Amino acid sequence: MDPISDAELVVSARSGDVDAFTVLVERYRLPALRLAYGIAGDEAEDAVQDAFVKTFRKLHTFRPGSAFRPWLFTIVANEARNRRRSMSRRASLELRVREQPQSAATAADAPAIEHDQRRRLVAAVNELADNHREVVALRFFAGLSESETAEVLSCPLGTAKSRLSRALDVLRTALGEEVTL
Amino acid sequence: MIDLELALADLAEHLDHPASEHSAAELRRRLVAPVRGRRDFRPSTRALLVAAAVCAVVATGVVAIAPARQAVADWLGIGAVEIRRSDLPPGAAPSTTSKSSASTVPGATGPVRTATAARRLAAARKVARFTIVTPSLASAGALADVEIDHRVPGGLVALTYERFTLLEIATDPTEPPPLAKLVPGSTPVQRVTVSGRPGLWIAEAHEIGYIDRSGRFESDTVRRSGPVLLWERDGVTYRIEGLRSLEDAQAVAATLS
Repeated sequence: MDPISDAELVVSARSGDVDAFTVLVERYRLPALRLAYGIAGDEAEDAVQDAFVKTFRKLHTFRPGSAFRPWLFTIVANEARNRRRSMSRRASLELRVREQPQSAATAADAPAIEHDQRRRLVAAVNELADNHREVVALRFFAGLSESETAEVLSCPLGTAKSRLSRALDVLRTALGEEVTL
Repeated sequence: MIDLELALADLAEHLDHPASEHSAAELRRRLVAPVRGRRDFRPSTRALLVAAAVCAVVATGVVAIAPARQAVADWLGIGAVEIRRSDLPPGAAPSTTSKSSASTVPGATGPVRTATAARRLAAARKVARFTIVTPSLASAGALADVEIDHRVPGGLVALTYERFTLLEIATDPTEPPPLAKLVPGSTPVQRVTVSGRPGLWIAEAHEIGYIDRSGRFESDTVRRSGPVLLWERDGVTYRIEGLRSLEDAQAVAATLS
């Protein structure tokens, strides 16, 4: 059974259907949370909540026929940036990896990335400049395509690609021999 | 040696980001909450918009769904039903409209609130496109609030009493919405007669799903609703929400005039 499309749900949500909007929220809550975490650290949850509320109230401005996902993530990213700017404790921006061990089933299927490697990687991400960290969060944490990433950043595709490339170069330099190209 | 892009994708799965179990319920409360500072978005209007999505099952969709759902689908096909759902767990079930009414008249209690509701009822009766009925049963309690929304095709009126909420919804049968709500067959649904008209009693908190234009049904595993008595009469769909017993709900319905 095919899920209801974003466009259909948006049509219904625009008329005030909270249930339809809730389906959209559930569809995008996790990647939105990951994106906001990448930008605003511990403020992520509040940022995502605010973003969804604003999205719902701005639905009347959404252009029919355009893609909902980059539009939503633009609002999420804006909210997260606002949170980041207003934060007083820099430490709460620091990203962490979960400490609990993986289940056996997950471990068997997962790529060969050790927990220590994740911690070194997240430490390197924490050292990125804000604009580099943001493009990494859009592309890899939220799972957006390159073109969607460019749309959220309001920049040409080439600009988004080069920014991402520079961010990855910084990470490779920080991680040294540990990563492949 | 690790592939950096794969490692970043893997990292996304292992980030220790906050994820409160209560965030979904909290978000829903905010979505239906009053919007301050915008005259065109009054609290009552927002609450009603949530309540207002009126559904009519497309005939082909009814055919396509499972028999266990047929009873509900049949009924939905002849009337309209509001789709607001409570975030409260099964067994809690009070009307969310009751909550919103408290904020609609800040600080108002007892006679003050009742007088305000009476004025709103009189105003609603002047503009509604159908005859608004009210229960005459003393045990219904005082009328706490009245809300009307003209943006719902045909109009919608919500009457909030102390013990329950009564919604009266008229629909434009020529313009069905693109999505419809449907109670899954796993939820006990009792066919009942309400003042001589066919209706439904959904005694338990129940799940909600959607039917698209092609008749496909997709369950929404997040939203649930409490006990509801539904029936239709003369082009108006009535819904009583918040009473735990069918007998109580039918008693209220029998006195509507």
